[in-house]
Amino acid sequence: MKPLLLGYGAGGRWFVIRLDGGPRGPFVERLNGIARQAGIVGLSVDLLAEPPTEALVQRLADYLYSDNTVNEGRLTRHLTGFLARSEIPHRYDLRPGAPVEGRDLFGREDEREHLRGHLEAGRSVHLRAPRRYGKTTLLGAVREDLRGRGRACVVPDVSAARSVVDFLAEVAIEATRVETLRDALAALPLARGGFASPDISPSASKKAFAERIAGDVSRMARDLFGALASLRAVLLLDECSTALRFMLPRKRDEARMLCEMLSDARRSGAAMVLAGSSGLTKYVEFHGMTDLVRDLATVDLAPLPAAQGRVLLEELLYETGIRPGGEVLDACERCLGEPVPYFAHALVAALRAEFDRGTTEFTAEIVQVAYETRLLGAWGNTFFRVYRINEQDYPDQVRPGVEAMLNVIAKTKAGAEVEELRRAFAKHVPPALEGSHEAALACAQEDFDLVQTDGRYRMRCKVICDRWAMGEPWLAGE
Amino acid sequence: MNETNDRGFDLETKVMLPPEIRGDPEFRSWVEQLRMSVMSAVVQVHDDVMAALDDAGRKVLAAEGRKRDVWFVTGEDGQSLLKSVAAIRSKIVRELAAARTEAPPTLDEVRRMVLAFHDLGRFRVVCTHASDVQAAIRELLGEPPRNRLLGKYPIAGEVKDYVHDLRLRKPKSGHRAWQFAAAVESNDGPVFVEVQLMTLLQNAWDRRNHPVYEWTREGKDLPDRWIISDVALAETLYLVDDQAARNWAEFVAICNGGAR
Repeated sequence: MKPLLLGYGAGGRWFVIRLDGGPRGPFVERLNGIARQAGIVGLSVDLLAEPPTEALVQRLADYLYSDNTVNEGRLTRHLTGFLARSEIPHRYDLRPGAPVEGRDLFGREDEREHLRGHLEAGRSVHLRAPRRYGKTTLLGAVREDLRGRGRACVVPDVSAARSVVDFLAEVAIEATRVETLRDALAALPLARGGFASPDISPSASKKAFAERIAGDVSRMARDLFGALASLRAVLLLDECSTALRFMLPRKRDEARMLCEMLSDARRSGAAMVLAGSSGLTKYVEFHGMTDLVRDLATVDLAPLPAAQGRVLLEELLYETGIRPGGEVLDACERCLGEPVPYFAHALVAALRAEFDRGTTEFTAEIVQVAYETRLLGAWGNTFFRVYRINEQDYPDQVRPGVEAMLNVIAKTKAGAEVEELRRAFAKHVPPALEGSHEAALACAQEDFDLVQTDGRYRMRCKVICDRWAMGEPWLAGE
Repeated sequence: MNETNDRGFDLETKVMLPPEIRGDPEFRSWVEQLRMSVMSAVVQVHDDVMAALDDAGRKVLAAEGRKRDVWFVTGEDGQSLLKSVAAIRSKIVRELAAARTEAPPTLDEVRRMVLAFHDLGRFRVVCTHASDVQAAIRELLGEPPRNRLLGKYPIAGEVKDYVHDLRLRKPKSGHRAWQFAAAVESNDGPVFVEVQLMTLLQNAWDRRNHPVYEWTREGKDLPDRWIISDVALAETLYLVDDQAARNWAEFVAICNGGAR
């Protein structure tokens, strides 16, 4: 039986669905019902001999759940997107463990809009989110948005900065890599002797900048940030909290100096985004520097809304070749809890591994097994490496206290009260450090996605909580 | 598509359409909604016929012991199973003109008129041999032919044999086929699907002659000499079909060890 072509046309474009075999009558009825509800202005519908020239031909299977019912939401999105706005339906790339780019960014429209709005209004922003919630991805998207509006963005990697000079050198190097800023920056004293040529290694180049900056740190910082402000460039400081957290306990004065420089830069018109968690704000508070970050507007990056999380799972499963079913999606949602894209990609990658092994019919049980044996097993270690205590910059004597608090929190979904945590912390740190439990908790909030609900701290992300509850020694650093 | 003037008259036929669908975009949109709501029912009939003929075709081949094409069903490759918007408009206008009513019909009356078209849905079963047409009819309607397609879709009116029935053979047309209209339930109540069964040669003649059919349907004349010659062509093809079926039957018998 040859495929029947069912075409929906509007504005000279056709969205064509090949009905491959099977009982096609009910599909036509369902598809037409969806098309009618989509309310596309000037919609035509026809059975076609051949796809018209301006046609996008899709397979029916791309719009069916595993029980052969029509995925109404997906069809509506694709149909309206193509016929009303000329959008080619996007197939989301499965990228477990990596930031996504361009159209692979799913959802986050509001956060993106808020970030852009603040920056365009001249307000700098603290982008708050735990690790692996998509800050880097979102910053990449905002960079593209601003570039499209003629604003240059400087995106240095400051995670390894151990001093103010390091920090400024990273910013300077990255700024001089932006073509539209290069000439203007060449006039600054920090560019004396010219910029590094491409055949000089980045470390040599950084060293050269660092030497010039070290000569007069305050002036160089003023010059650099002043020039960026006058060029209307935006600084997107990813992993900013990592640098600050390294400096605060060790070089408090340096950290304060850095915060002051960034604050001065903002006052003189430099726009920037500091990406870090809400814990960072608290941490800065403990060190008495709240006044230096008070001017920042805040944008929070939470897990996706449940409905969006389900759609992301659907999209990734289709892309993987697994036709999703309601039961499978329900099971995925149960495994993920509040949907964080990072773990949605990881879970679908775990299912793909099952698919590659020859599993074709997916059930809730298979999802649960894939979750438990792969994502929570050795296969999934990569995804949790970042949640190891050793990956975080805790002083050695504080680390056992943090581990004890996390163990208490992960015991139950409801989490633990502050007093419980204080006691657990105190048992595992030297008496002199007992008082630092609040600062440690603030850092843990950032590192392990802790949220406070009704006076109790809990791990918001079910996947992290499940993994931590397993009590694996490697997460605690052994 | 014909144009209408300010008062809604179809300029060529002087037929008044209901005000809601006088404009071209409004008419198109209205008809497309109607087509959309009956489409799945028509596709279902088409699917059922194709499935039945798939099985029957295998039986024919098994009986003959030879590989060949037995039949194909149009629309299988997505060719429109429904009357086009332009053809629906044209038929509405013709029927309204024939009815000669003074007042324009209501939209609901036009809707009912369209849903009653016996060829709102249509497809053709094109067979290699005349004997295959008979086998297909047996499969679809039973032996002897009953008044239900595949035992489930009621036939509206009679099963027409434009090949052998002298009452139906039109002296001025070479169209030759077996055909009937089957009723199927849609979201808008029963609609009709016209199924035509014919040989490859009858289909070829019909396809070639479609522009002539359009011409004469518009009331335009052709010289008698031309008509006689063209109908004679169709009758010649009848003879070719008849002889080809005999030759084929003999060939199959030879292949299967029968008399030479």
